[in-house]
Amino acid sequence: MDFAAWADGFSQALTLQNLALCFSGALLGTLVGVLPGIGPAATLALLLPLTFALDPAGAIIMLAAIYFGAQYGGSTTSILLNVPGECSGVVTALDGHKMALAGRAGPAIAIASLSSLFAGLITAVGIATIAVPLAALTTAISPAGLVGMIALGLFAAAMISPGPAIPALALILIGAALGLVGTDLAGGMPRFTFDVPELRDGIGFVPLVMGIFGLAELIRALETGGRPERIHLVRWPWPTRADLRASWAPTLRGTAIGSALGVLPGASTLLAALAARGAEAAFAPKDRPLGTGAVAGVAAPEAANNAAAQAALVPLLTLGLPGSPVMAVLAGALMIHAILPGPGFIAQNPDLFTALMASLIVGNIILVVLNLPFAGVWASLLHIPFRRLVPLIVVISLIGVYSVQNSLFDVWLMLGFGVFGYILLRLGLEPTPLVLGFILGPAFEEYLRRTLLFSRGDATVLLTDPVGATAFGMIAALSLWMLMRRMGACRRASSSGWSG
Amino acid sequence: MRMPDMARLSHLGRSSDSVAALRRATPGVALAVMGGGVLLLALGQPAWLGNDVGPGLMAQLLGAGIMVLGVLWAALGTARHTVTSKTCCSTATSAAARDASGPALLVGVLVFAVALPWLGMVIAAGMAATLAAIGAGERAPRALALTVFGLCALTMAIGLVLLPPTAPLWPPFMG
Repeated sequence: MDFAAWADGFSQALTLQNLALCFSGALLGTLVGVLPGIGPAATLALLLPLTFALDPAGAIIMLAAIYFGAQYGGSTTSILLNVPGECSGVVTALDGHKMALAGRAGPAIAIASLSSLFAGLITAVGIATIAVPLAALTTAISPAGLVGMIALGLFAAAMISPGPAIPALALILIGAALGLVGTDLAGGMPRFTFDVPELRDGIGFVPLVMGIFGLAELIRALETGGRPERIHLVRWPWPTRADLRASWAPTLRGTAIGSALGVLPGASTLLAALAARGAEAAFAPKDRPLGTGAVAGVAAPEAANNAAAQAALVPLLTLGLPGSPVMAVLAGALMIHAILPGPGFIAQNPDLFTALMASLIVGNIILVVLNLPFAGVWASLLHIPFRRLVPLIVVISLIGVYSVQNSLFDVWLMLGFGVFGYILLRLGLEPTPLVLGFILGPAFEEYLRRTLLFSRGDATVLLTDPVGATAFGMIAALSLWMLMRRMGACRRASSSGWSG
Repeated sequence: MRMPDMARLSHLGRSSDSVAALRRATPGVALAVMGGGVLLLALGQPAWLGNDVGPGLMAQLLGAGIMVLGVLWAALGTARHTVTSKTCCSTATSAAARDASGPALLVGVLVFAVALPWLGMVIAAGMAATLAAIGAGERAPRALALTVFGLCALTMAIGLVLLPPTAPLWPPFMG
């Protein structure tokens, strides 16, 4: 992106309407994200209906602001309560909560906000710089290569997803099968519609994501989230000079690690935060080691997770690969607004892309303005008992799902997916792979269809195309490695059983 | 002192082991059955239309994949059980200790879906809110009533301001 493109992006992002959308998205995202147990994916899912009436640019700006607001809100919860709003918050809580216990909750929140801001700004500029040439490269990838890349992305998501890999893979396939429901676009034949007219257009993304993420996450939060006995007072949150001196280098390292890991499909913000903390272990001063309320233990993971969260937009916007649950929800939300992320997205929507990049910068600044002076206000929200908020969230979700198409069928679908999400919760499985499969399944089928059409039904083209061959080779190698690791573990277990 | 009957104990251990193994295999079996169902449905559609891919190909592949993974999961679940059977009981205890918040929330959604056509959105939302609040652990009657009343008012406000006039806010008999 050159200067003119940036200027164009800012001129769009700074219109009164888009600024208001960015501000309200950041505010609502923080408001919901600050609630313990509600992560960014669930926040995005719950607030999705708010964007339906907006134009695509407004919607994408608001969605991005909601996402980053939820990230910032989650950090506050991690620091104050030791109850992370999302998994990467676990890493921040290790030192952030220790700072809060020592009466330094304000500086901890400030360091988290400033590190996130720095990482957000640098990563936004980085995305704008690399995404355009990368997108140009992806348009040269053949359909066979894209089939391979989607398969690799899904496989990586299943491997990295918490819990056993086999059910995660199965959930991806179930998601993809759900994505096939509706009228087949190529032949016009109905698939899995059971003569239900409402299913002819396919399963709606909103009821699916509200049931799987919204309802199931609420249940998870209720069942696992304990209330704190005491919430630490947050006074004026400005850090000392010593805090700032101790945080700049970890912030830089965290930003570099987060943005490098974030572009890999499947690599989560948790992985980035953990890697950044791991790197800081080598740099932390001896008098303030990590785990004792070290500033570096807040700055590095916060910078890393914010950088990774933003860098995850690169595979989504260039390849159409949502590498994380949040990106999956974001991808679905964009599709609702008739924006198809993937190869060609940036070339076909240059204005939208520049507006998004500019709004990332504006949004991060708004979030710091919201989070620093009002840290005490956000902390006071935590005094509201969660049991009072649950009915509100349920009712808003129900009205949201119903209002998408004024359809009671969508409410029934939401219930069905809520029950399914609840079963997954009971089995200790993450629903993310299902949503990824739901989004990428139809794209996979479309590229497979094109591949076989061009090759006149010859499937070996998937293995002769260089990109496809590399992707499938990596899947085979990873599967083999997993199998060998599993066999080794079984052998060790049985030999220890014999010796014992 | 009476000695325990070792043969009986070992028999009991074996049967509880097999019940636990069956329980662990159930999700995999359910998945395999689901995959079989998808495959059966998909077989009703052509996989190929001449040289072109038909609407059934992807669905058949997915159905077969789900079935195979289900079988694998069930088999691995049973195998893993034999190694870790001694530690299984702690999970069962913690599962039993969980409250009924999940089912209450889901029943709340069910009640909303059933009641909406008959009682309208405001009352249906109030009923769902009641169940959700109880499921979330609200026990004070005054607070419960306030929450439900507040949410009914919010639903009415959203319905009047944001939803189309065709949205069924009130029971049909109220016009």
